[in-house]
Amino acid sequence: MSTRGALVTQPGQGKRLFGSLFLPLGVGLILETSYQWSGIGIILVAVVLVTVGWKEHWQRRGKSGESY
Amino acid sequence: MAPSFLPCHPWLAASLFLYLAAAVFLSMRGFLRHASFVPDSSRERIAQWMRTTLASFEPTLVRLGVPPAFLTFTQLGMSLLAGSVYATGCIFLGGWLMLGCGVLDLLDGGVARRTAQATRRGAFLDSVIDRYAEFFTFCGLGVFFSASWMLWVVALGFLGSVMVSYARARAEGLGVECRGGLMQRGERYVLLGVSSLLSTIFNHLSCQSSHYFLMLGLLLLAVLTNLTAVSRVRAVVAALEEP
Repeated sequence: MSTRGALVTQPGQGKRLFGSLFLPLGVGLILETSYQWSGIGIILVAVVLVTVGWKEHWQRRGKSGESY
Repeated sequence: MAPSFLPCHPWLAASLFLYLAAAVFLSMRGFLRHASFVPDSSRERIAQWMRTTLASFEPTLVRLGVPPAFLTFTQLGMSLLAGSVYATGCIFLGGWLMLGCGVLDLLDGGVARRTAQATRRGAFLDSVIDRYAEFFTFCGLGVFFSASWMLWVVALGFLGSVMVSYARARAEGLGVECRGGLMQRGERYVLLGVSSLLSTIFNHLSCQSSHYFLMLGLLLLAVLTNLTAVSRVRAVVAALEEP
């Protein structure tokens, strides 16, 4: 039985996942290269994406009253 | 990119480690709470968690009209980049790119199925491109470990990875089903990617540059891929035995 789609309907999940994947890239740039500001920029964008994703999640949850 | 003289950042590495642990824990907990079916074995459970989580990208990719072949060729480009990055000694970035390759490897099949573009031609191209991708990655690791005995481990890991796929391809050519084994493609991406990330994190935590975690990951990869290949060969030989 496939569970595909079980989590797909969660609002903001794509943004949260995208941000979560790119945040380590920013940290990696700081840890291993001299491109410190690029790393900081990527981290900021990733944090914004994760925050927006969670905001969508909690807004939808508050509206529908259902628990995800 | 010259990591040798860069300062170590133990606090940043510790924060990243805690962040990654929390992200994996929360995502896994969400999956276990909401999945309609959870497999019994922990290995299958992790595989299904990854598939289900990454499936949230598929509708967006389909809506944007991204063809599965584009994802496959992007994976090839990322592997080439991962090899180059490994060769320059940026192990964390190499590991991140390896995990990215694993993500694209899962997504291209998913997008192909969703858009009814899953064809035999696509499956063939995907398999061939995967072998090239593995070659680029192991080449980069070979350059990084060129002055050490680990070069032999990298060579054995590459041999095992290719033999796992070759055993299956040859068996299927002879009409024998040949699946399973510990170290299939997805597991190889995860093992190499996670050991690279942990290696750099622990190097920064201890302010040294030994990459023990990556060495351990490569040793495991070399042993387990060859064991998987041997187990597949034995299964196929048993299936082809003349009565």
